[in-house]
Amino acid sequence: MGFKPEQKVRLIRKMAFNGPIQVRIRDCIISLRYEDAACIHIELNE
Amino acid sequence: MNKHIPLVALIGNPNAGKTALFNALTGLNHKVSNYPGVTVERKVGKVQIESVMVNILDLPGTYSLIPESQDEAIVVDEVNQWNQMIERPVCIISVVDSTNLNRNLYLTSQLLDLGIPVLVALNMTDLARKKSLRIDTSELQKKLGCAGVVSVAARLEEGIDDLKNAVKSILDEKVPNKHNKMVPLPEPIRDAIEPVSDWLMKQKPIHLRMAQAQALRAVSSNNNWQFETDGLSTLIKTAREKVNDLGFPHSTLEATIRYHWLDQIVPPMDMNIKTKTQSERMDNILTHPVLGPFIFIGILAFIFQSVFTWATIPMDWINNGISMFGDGISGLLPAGILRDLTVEGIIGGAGAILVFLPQILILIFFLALLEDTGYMARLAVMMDKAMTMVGLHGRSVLPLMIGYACAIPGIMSTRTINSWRERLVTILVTPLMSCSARLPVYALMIGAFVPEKQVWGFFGLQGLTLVLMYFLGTATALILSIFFSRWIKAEHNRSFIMELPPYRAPMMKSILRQVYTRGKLFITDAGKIIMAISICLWFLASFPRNETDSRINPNLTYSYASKIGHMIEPVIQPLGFDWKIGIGLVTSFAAREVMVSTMATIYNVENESDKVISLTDALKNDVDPVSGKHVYTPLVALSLMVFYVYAAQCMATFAVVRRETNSWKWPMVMIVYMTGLAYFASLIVYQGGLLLGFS
Repeated sequence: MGFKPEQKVRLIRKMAFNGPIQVRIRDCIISLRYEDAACIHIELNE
Repeated sequence: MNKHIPLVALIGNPNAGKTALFNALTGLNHKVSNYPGVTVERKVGKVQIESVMVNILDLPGTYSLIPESQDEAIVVDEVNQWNQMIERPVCIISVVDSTNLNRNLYLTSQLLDLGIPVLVALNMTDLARKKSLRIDTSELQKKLGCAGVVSVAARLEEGIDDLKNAVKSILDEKVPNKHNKMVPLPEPIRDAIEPVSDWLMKQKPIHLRMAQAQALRAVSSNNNWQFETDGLSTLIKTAREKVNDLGFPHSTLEATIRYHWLDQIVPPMDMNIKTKTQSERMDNILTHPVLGPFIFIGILAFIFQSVFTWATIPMDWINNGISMFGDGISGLLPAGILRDLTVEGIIGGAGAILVFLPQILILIFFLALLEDTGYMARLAVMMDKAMTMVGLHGRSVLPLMIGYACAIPGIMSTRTINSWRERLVTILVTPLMSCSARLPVYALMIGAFVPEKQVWGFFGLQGLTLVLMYFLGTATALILSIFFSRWIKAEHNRSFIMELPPYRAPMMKSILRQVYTRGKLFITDAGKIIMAISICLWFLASFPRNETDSRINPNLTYSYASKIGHMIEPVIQPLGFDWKIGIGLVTSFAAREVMVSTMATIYNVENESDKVISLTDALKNDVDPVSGKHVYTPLVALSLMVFYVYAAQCMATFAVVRRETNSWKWPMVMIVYMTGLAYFASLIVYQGGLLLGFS
């Protein structure tokens, strides 16, 4: 779905009570649960 | 299917516009919306290209040929069939979203390996133009090595002729299918997976490229049933170890290799992801952690209130129209059985249902609007946490909301839920959502027995009662989900990943089409059942005729219907229902709305005059001949409505559940639990009401 190595992502929003987060990848907004997001390694930038 | 008609398949990512393109090509009107995964089954339509007839196949959207859910599995099964030369298409149209080319072409690159000519349809070029993205089609075609690249804008029906011409030239074999290039595999990797591809080639007569592509997928994907053969799985295991040793984690191997190739062809634009898009700004409010849920509740309240208030105007017209029509026919026909049948049976019965059409259409309109704007996808995200807590899934929201219109498409749309347990629980509780077939029953009872009062200044009591019925069904569905999900065995796959499509202005044309299709379905499909049952019922209620008895309504009293009704009366008496309602309960096993037409037919037969009577007035004035009390009281009406909230009364739903779960167990479970629930809930309402002193 557009998650690939070295892809830049930005966290847009967290939902209440640890619901799914929304991230922006290029022009797409993808929503995924914490547990799923935890499987993705990220490096913080800026 | 006719073997001589060539087949063209549409494949693409969810929300890439396949169905819009399918409609534009075939002229058919299938549902298009702004929610990933609206198409959940294969659909075939015909198109005439010059003198040749071609079948177009629309498939659910998928991100890759490794399925994550039921709807994606449909695509992969279809592709596997083609590999075995069963119903193999002459060409594949790979539908891609031009504004997100790099990611969309991933699936295209998988399709290129199948050995079938691939036409790339660059969809949404209108949006790409707005973003000033320019794509050189001939350059792209050369680099991908596909049969053609065509720019289209399916929603605006632009470029459709170009696409047809491209298909035509493939049919005429003007385009050689030889310069397809395999995604370049680095040599060490090719060697590592070679034992697997060799094994595949020995099994089936496939060419090297397809064998390599399949081997690559087998090594990469962790749970792929098609490769679960003893000899092969050891080969795959060895290959994985080799690949891992080379420094490529095997699970991302296919993605790494394909994206490496694609990044050279369409460099991913280094887009500034910090600028906020329009949709993001709207989401700041609409999916706000606190505001969002309140907005949703507000929207729902507005919809239900308008179903009741706006619809009354056209409902009055229809009502008057029907009784005028009945009177007119009654004047034309000579007195006798034929006139009785036409006026009392057909016009009385079917007319009583037609009145509710406006309410159903308004409900469908709003649901379609929510979907088309992209709001429904946000709802799945907002509700995911709450849904998980009761054992459901964020993606259960759409099926449940569609359930307000009809459980059948709702149950079909559960195919996008990727875990079996959550999907099954959603299927089991979706019929508890009050569908539009219950609306006539609620509306009749509310219209007759709930006073037209205002509460708290702005809410109508009638609308509020309706909302209460919907709330009762919805709350029960959520509570029962907890029990069902404890009962049904869990499995591992519990993820939620969903693309949120950009908000867009609703396409009124497509929404109105949906409303029209639904309305037509209601009139024709439901109409047929209602008509047949109304006629049967009229016979049962009118015969045997008794000419000697001088009481007011002899025909009904001695009729077969009365005998049947009296037989079941003891069972339903504790719920406050008399034998006439009993007949209604029996006939509504075919479909719920039949209840209303049944009542209409019975009361029309009972009535001595030749006019079509108002069902509402008939119910209000019905008096028990023995006790002299009214048969219907507000308490009876409430008990009856609660019965309809829960009762399992739709044959078509059970047929669909049987098909979707592939067993008789689940439809049986559904019938048992819903019927039990209906009986006991009504019992509590009626007996409790009596105890509290209501009558």
